[in-house]
Amino acid sequence: MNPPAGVDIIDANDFKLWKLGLAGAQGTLYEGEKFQLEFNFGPNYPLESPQVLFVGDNIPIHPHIYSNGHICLDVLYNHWSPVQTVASICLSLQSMLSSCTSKERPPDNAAYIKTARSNPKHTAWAFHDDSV
Amino acid sequence: MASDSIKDSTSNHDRKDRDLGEEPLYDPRSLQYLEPTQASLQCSVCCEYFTEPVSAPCGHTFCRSCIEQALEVRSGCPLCRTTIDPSSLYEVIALSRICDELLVYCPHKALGCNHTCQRIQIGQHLKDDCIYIGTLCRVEECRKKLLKKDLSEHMESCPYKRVDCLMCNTKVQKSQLSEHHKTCPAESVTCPHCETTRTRLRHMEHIKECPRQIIPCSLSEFGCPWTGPRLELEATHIPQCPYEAIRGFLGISKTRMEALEQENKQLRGMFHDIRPQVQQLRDQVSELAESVQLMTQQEQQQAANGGGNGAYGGAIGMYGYMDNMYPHQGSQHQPMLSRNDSYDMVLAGDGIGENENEMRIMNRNNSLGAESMVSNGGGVAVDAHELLISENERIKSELETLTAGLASLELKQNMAIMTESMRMQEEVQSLRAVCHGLRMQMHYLLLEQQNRHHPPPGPPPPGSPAGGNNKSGGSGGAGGPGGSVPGGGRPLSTSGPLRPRFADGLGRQETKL
Repeated sequence: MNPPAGVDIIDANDFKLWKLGLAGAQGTLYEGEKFQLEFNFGPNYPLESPQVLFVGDNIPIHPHIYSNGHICLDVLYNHWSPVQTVASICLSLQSMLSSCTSKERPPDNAAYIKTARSNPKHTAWAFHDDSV
Repeated sequence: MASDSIKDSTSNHDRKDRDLGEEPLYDPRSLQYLEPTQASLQCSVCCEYFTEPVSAPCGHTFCRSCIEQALEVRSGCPLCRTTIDPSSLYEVIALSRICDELLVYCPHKALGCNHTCQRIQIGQHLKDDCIYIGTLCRVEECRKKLLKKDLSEHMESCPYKRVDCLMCNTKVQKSQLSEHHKTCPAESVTCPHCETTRTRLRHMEHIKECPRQIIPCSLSEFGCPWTGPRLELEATHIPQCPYEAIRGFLGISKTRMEALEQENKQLRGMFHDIRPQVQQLRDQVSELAESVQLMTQQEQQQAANGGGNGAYGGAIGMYGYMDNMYPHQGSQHQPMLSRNDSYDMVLAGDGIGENENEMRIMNRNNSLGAESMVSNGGGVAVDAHELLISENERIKSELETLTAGLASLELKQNMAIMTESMRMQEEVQSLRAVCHGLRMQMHYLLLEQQNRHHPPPGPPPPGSPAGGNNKSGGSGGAGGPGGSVPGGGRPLSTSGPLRPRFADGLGRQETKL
């Protein structure tokens, strides 16, 4: 079966670590851009969420995406549900990118990337903005 | 859906890992279905066909194990997030039946089993019919892992299987059967000497008396070189055997030899026990010799110091005019010196004696080493043992004399030190007296001079010159009364050298030299 539109598999041979390509949707601020996503599946997947972050040279400039690739998205952390799949996460991320109105980093980006640990699941996220 | 395929591969992997463990015949979630995947019959957590499907009050259905695990992590429906009480889950019987009736492949399809059946029957198939299921060889010692289909073939050739020996009717492992035939007591054997045939069991007895077996002479242990058939031994050889004639003697010497060997062994053991003791004693002796040498050196040093003191005493003695004043002092010097000298002589003699002793000890050590070597090499353990014991005794007595010598030396040294110190004390005393006398004389002379330059009534010059000359602090006090009574001093001055003598007697306690 095929991955959803705009998503392609770069490397999924390791059952614990996947790399996917994500293309910016047409008619959005990210049209024509290509991003790389990394999925890290723990032993309790799907009961617990995988660790998802943007990697590579091109990290999308978005108010909820930090320059170290960490994504501020509730379904990846405390709103995770075991019925979610890699495909559903990719769709959520694409919709998050598509609804963006101005390309800018989160206001606390500089402070966050200095202190954040490599695994975004260790960050205590505060989800306050439902618009984007 | 892509998501399903993605998820499938991860979950399958985990399950295969689990499947390697023995007992449960199969994992229901790793079954392969004949029908293409129908999303409506799949659990949205594990993305497989429902296994024991249960519904929550919100209407969503999951596998029982999936929803129970999910609720442990987060207590909401995974799909709509409505709170679910685990006790409110109820089984969906119709759905369960539909899923159980789905056709599946045997889990051992990869090994070659082409069986397909309804999911609910797969357990029965695996238990009874599937010949591709893993099993173990039934023989205890073998326990080889193999597929059920290969078991009967394996049992034919299992090297641990027991088979009957046709000759002796005992059970023998198949792999050891040929080995068994070489020793089987029922196997028939031909005697190599007389070429008669009987079972091995009886051959064993026969071989002891086979008349044609080639045997050595019964006295071969004493050197008879004869060998021949048993038949001929008694008949022809024994009457001629030269060893037969001295058989009695040989027997006696053999028993004696054995007794001697036994004794030798015993003695050797004793010798081994004693060796470390001897070594220990030797060490002790050498230690003692060292300490004695050290003591001797100290003595000699002491003696040398004593000689120096004597010289010093001699130098003092050169103040000849003092002897006039204190005749008893001078007379004391001489005998003391001589005593010291004689003592040195004694010490030197002792030193030589010690050296000789050491030499003797060393010689003995050498000879001892030689003896032990001889006893080791030649095995004359008896002599060596006695020698060792006597050596031991000698070393012990040596030790005792050395200890006694040490004690006496110590005593002598103490005495020498004591006399020396007493002598020194007396010398110091005499020197002190001499010094005081000198000072008094000086004082007297100064007074005399002053009286000559400044006739009687003039106040005496401040005692500063006298004080400056006399460096001792106590002299000021002693000189004080002399200076403070110039008037009264004059008549006394006529008494001449007597006055300082009196003052000397008084000021002695105050004088510090």
